[in-house]
Amino acid sequence: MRDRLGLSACFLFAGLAIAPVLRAQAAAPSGSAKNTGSDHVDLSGVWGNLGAAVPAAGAAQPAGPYMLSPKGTMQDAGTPADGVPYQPWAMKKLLAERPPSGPRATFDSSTDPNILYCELYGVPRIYNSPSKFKFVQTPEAVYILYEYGVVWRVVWLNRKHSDDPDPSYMGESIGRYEGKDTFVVDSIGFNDKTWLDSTGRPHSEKLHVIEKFRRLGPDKLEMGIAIDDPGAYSATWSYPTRTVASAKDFAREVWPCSVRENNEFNESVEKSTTAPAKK
Amino acid sequence: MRIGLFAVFVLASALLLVSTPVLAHHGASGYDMDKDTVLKGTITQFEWTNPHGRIALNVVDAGGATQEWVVECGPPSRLVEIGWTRHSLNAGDHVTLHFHGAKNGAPRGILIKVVLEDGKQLENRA
Repeated sequence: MRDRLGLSACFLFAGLAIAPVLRAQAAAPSGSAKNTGSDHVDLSGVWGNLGAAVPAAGAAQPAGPYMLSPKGTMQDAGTPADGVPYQPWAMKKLLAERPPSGPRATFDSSTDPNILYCELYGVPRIYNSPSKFKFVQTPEAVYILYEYGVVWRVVWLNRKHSDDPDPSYMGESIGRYEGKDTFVVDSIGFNDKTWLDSTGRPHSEKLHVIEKFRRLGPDKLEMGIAIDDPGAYSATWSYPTRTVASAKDFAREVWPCSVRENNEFNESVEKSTTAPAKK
Repeated sequence: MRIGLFAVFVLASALLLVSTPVLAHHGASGYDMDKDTVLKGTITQFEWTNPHGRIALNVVDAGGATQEWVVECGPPSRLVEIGWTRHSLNAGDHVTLHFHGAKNGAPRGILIKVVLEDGKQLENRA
């Protein structure tokens, strides 16, 4: 019960914090790529991965919510053959991880900081979740709200990065509009506790992420993500561009990672499932 | 042209087959996704929790012995979108679970769907 009260208090606080920006967006047009009179793209709507039915044996497997390899393949994602320019330490760390996704996926003894501790996914891993996200545009900032983890980011407009931002899970983000259809988010100031994605790719505190969102129409948003991390990779590389669809009912139910409930799950399901097979 | 389209189809199918499904949070590598298990039983607990839900089911075998199975399902945020509520399952309900069982043979699994006593089906989403 105390846990639920704590969770409720968190939601209440988060709700109070973003109430002004939600009110601001309520007055804005939504779900349309039409010219709204402004000189930049209207990102209103709800975007992202909608989740997929768990398939019966023999049925087509759902595509991953994100193509995890620069070459656009899944079977080599998070392996030495995937086309990512790993520095030696980054490759060594990747191969020492026990991730939940990709060809090296395992249930057993996971090293995933989100599975172990419910730590924030960070950026760009937050887009690996089969859940939705939403932009709230204001004159001074664009807020990005995510259902998974119940987290949000502020992307400041019309300002420069701090000289020495404190390392954080979601980084420090600065945004700019390009043309009439694109929004670019430039982020630095990350800690090194998160993974880039669910295959376990590491990064350093020198991580610099460039996200590019281009609205293709009322129901389509193109996303591009570039990784520039001279502390972990020998060159800049990008995830394949993908298009996400619009959806309904943002945050009808949010998707927190409750440490208590996750621990209960790990105790009752995961440990039994990863114990040695019966003789 | 026909050969070209066919080749694209074969390649796309192959990619789907070798793709590891990226299910929510902890993935599905602990389960035998190539095999469906179907069990009838009585629900003892339905956990409407995050980041995963859980269904506990008592199953009585031919010899009269009872075994409890625990099958994970999606979180509330995914399930409400396809018709579930926190009251969809209740202790004492007689249901049939379709799921992928644990690879190691433990009485655990990941849900495909639930068939209620009145025949209504609830699909899982992760």
